[in-house]
Amino acid sequence: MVSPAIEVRNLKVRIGGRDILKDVSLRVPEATITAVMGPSGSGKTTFLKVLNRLIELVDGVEVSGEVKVFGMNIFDMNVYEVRRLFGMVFQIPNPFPHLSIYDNVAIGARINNVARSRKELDEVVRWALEKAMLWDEVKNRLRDPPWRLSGGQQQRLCLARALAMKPKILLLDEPTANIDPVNTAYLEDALRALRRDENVTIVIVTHIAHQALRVSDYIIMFYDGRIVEEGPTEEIAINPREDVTRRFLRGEI
Amino acid sequence: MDKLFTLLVVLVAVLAILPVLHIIAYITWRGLPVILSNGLSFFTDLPAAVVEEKPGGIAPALAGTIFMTFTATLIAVPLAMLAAIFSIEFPNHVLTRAVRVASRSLLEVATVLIGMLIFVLLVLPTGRFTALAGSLALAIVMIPYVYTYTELALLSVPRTYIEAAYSLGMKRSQVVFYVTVRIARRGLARGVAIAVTKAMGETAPLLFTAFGAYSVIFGGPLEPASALPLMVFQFIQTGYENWRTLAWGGSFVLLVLYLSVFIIARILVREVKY
Amino acid sequence: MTSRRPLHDIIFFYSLALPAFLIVVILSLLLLSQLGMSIPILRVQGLSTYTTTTWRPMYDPPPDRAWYGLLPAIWGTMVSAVIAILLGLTFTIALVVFMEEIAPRRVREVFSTIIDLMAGLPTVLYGVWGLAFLGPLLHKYVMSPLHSHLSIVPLFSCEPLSGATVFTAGVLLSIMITPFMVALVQESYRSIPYTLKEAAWSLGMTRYEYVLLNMRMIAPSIASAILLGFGRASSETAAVTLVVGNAVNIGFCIFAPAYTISSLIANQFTESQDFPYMLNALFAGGLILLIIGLIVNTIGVLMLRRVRF
Repeated sequence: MVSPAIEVRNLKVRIGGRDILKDVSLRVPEATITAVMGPSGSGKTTFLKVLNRLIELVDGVEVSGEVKVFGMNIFDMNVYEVRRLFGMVFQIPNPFPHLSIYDNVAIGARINNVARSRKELDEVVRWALEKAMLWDEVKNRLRDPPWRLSGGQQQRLCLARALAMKPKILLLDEPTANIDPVNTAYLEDALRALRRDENVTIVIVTHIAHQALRVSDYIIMFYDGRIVEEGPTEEIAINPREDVTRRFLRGEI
Repeated sequence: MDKLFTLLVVLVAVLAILPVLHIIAYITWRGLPVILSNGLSFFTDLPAAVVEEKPGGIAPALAGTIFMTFTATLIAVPLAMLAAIFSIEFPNHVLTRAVRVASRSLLEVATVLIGMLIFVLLVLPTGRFTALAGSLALAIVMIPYVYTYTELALLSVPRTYIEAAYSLGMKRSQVVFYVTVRIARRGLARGVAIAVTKAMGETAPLLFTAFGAYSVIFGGPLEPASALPLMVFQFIQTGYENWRTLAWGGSFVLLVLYLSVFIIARILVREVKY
Repeated sequence: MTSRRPLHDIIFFYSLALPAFLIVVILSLLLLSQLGMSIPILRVQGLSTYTTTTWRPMYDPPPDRAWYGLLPAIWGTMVSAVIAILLGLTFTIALVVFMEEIAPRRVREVFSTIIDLMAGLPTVLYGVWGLAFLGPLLHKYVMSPLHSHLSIVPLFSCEPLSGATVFTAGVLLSIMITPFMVALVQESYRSIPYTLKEAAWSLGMTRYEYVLLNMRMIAPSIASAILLGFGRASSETAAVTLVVGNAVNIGFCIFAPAYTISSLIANQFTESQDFPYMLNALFAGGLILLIIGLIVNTIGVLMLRRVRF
């Protein structure tokens, strides 16, 4: 792989005395959609939260190992700078309830100094909402509170909020687990477009095998806190090396 | 047998709440006529000399209550809220445990003792009773209420919003002040409202600090002052009919003030939609 | 793993720690000042300040001429608080049972609002009502009759001269501490798991037996309510000062006027400017009030933790 976006070596994570990630090493290629897949409880979400150091908010967490993003060791950097490299979309849509639709998207841009004037901010908000495939549906009600939107729309709003940061890497934690198939399709289309047009590196965690096969270029298979195998999607899909992977793809675990 | 039990319970329960209803009615019965018969001058005049026909007014008490409640709120709210934010952000720190104990103790302690504290710290060294001393005493009374309600409100903000805020790259102070506090703002406002009712209604802390003053409407923060509850307390005990009338009128005003803030605090209970 | 803490986080920590620290300092100052101002009189009168009944203000300081004994005030505080919790507990249990088991939802909400109203009502308003209405009422319909017919009982053996007695103070306090006790007991009652309630009903218990069972299950929180209610009652100043009579008194009869520690402080404060050591005596009273409060509240809070299902 030519200079990976993310490089992880010997990552171990313990929470409250339990080993969640047991010696994980992997690489995520740049400007691709990488699916981190595996059954529930295999440590995928924890892995994602290590990347943007969100895991440090948890009480009693111990992390050891090396994680490099674009060649930089994230544990040597200022934690806030690390987080600004990533945009994150969570499993349950969580737009800020006290902000309007516009302000929800804008806050990502404001915090990260992406826009300097009101005009620039308007442009970024529009761009982010377009990329999230939500602009047409909300352009006339930007001042509305987010709870007027459906679950699927709220999730796209969260995507727009993350995009407004202009992140290099987008992290999505089971983003379609709680939304309907139509919105799922919208979201997946949005991701493909982002990879194609903006060269964003995308890491999507999913426990749905079909989604991983459908959407990704690269797959990393997690099981019980370890990496089982990784590789280009076509290879894994046709010829998985490991038994666990095969059983997961068949829907047995 | 069970019927008897039920009947007894209902009777005693009703008996328990009857007093407060009667208090409201009784104070209105004795206080409202005083205001009606004296009109606006009741609010704008000084208490008259005891030999006069008309009783005068309670302006010093009103002015004092406004000044001292306002300044006490200005002191107590930032102090208590920041301390509560500290407790939320650093829950395992020893200082957090100390503050919780301190807050609970200040809540339980007799408020007259809080007045005595300010007496020792401020009144004795300077040799004067002041409105400022009264404000400080009331501020200390308010602190545990604001602290407790702020903590409660902040804790109830769903964790997912806090995670989202951090994921956007927000720094700790930005997460707290742009997101957590703003989402919890109604709970915070309610805590302030409840603390204000306490400050408005307390008598004992003012006995040793503001002391009461009735020769001018308001002499400034460095002069003794009165307040509604203090005035009522002092005037109802005098032998002069005139001044006792003022006490009843003042009781009614205090009652109305309390009920208003009570209703406002109730309205604030309607939460932010999550 | 963790790199250097960002500077921002450090500033954040200290600017929040300061207000927190200030609050702890305030409490410490309270304790220290109360102690410090009590020492002068304790040095001159010793611990018999708390055990003697003479209150004799004089221009010459104690122990030669003047003497400031706090026992009557302590007695008054104790008696009024005990009456308050006896009555208050009755009200509390009746209210909790009524709201949780008998009342329909609307009625319960009304009662709940009224109780909240009681909780925050300015105490001087309670006092004014007690002085003008409750006192005379109790005098005419409770105290005088009890004295005329049952003066054999030591409690009722003295003639009530007016409504201002330690008994009135106790009754007034019971009304005032009820909302607080209700909150405690109600929360505990509500946390009884539904399955235990179902089991009781399935055994064919009557409402009376069922309530008794629940009360026994939450006994520690009832004990806690008693202790914390006692603490509240002993702390109250304004309302009590107006109805307790403010006379130096001690004895078995509860229909006599008396002092409580807080009413003594409130009542005698202006006097204390003239007599040396009287102010210190008042502070010594405050000190014992503080200590009683501390003990009672600590045990009370510990008891709350013992509720287990």
